[in-house]
Amino acid sequence: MAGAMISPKRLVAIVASLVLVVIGFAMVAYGFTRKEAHAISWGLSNVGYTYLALAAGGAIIIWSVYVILGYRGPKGELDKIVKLGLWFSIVSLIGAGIVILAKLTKPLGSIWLILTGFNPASRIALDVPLISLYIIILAVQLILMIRAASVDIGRVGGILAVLGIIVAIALYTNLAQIYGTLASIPGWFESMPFLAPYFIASAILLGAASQSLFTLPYVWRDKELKGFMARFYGSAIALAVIAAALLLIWLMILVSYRPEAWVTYSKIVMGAYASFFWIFGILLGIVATLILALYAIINRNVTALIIASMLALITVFSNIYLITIVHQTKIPDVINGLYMEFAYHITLDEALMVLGALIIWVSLYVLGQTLLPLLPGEKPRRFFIFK
Amino acid sequence: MRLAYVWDSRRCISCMACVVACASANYPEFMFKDKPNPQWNWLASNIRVVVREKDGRPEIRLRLLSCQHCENPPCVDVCPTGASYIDKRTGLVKIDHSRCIGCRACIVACPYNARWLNPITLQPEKCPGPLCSRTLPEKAVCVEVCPAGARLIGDLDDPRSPVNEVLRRYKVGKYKVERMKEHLGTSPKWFVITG
Repeated sequence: MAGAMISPKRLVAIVASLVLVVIGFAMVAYGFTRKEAHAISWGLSNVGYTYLALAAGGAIIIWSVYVILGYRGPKGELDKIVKLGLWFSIVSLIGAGIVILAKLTKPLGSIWLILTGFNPASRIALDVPLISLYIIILAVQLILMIRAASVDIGRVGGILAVLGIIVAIALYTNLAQIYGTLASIPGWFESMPFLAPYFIASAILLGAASQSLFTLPYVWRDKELKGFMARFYGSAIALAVIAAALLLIWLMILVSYRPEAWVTYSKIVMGAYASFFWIFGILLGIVATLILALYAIINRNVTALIIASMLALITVFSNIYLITIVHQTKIPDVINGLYMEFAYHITLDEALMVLGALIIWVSLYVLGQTLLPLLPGEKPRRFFIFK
Repeated sequence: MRLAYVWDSRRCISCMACVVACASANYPEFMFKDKPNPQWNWLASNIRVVVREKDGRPEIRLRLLSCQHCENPPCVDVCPTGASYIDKRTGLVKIDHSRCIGCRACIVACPYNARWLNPITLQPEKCPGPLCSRTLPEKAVCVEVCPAGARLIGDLDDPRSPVNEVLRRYKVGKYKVERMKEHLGTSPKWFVITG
């Protein structure tokens, strides 16, 4: 019977994370009731949605490297963290859903309205089935792993992984097209060929970085595993940073020949947002992250991995912020050569909704770890899938 | 039926009667509010004034802009719920506010920036076409109040409609009939006469 009792430490973790989930929802609800009309239509909430959806991209690494290529680490280290990784992707998508639903005027009825009046030409409409499928695939795979008390679920795991990769790539491409198909905003429209691969690279970068940061506390005492994680996630971060840097160079060459797009890109590169871009996007985001990730790989250094991951988190956020906001601040008007200019500042409602969603994101992750058997050796004992 | 608008820039005297009439007919609740349209920093009106400035002063090149009621409207393409749609009876672009979820995609997608966000309902607003007035049913108030006859509305499919008559008249000669941002493939049904 003693084994079935909940330990005080676990009880505190459950209560604390539940309280934080409630606080997060209260913040989102309060922000929702104070919503304002801004000069810019898509603001911080859209940045938060894109960011959290991209954070779920760590699942692509698990599916491709672990399930399909069958790489498990020299001593099967990945077996120990794969369930935590899948759970992390699930809560990231839930967080993304919360932040975007709160932005809408009918958060509860919107899914029903989208499904009943489904417009296949609308990228926003396509986002709903894609994100739902993504969550379902992740959840089914995780449940099967929990039920099997093993990470090896046979052929079903492989099929789900292939499906998962297709859906994830479709979701990130579609997410990029939400912006890239709008001819009204030249900064997005002209960079369409770049946006989809950039979003996929960012999803892998953010997924690897956030997965390593969120997993490390649970495996902190396992030195061997930490050393493996430094190499594994360090490699994923380094590769994704290199891909993102190449795409950025490609983009800058592309838009420098497109005068309408350059109007807002010049704001990012050498205008009002230049310091933001060069410090967070380039210096810390690409140069420092790459050096630290390489250092983490070579020396199996966890501290370097942690700093590289934190920088990657900041970089992707700043880049998504710049992509979303800046291109809406100056758009061509109906008279040739005339532009409409808009100012943007973050308001309390948006800040509360995004911050609340981030609190829910982290708390749900902790709650899941306390309730579900996600760590090595843990088995389901209650209600089908719970510890 | 394909209802279309004509705005004759040569006749327009910039009195803004159409702008105020639209605001008072469609959004009377906003008439005494400060900056009710934060998007355009303007009145709660579906008509936006576009003026080019030179050395801080407005140049005499003005456009009165509202929904172009495009035949290929980007706002309808991006709407996830079908709340923005083309009314098959009139050919006008309409909003069914009961289906709108407030994602604002239509506002972002409109290349004319002809939509604005209602700060009370947080839903998009735009020119609904004729029948907009609560006091003058079956009339477009902007057309009715124009003292210079610079605005017209009519059916493009009806050869005898006033719109077609004007378009025919100005097809030749020194005046030009323009449609804005035609290169985007939106096929706007809002004609501007210049010259």
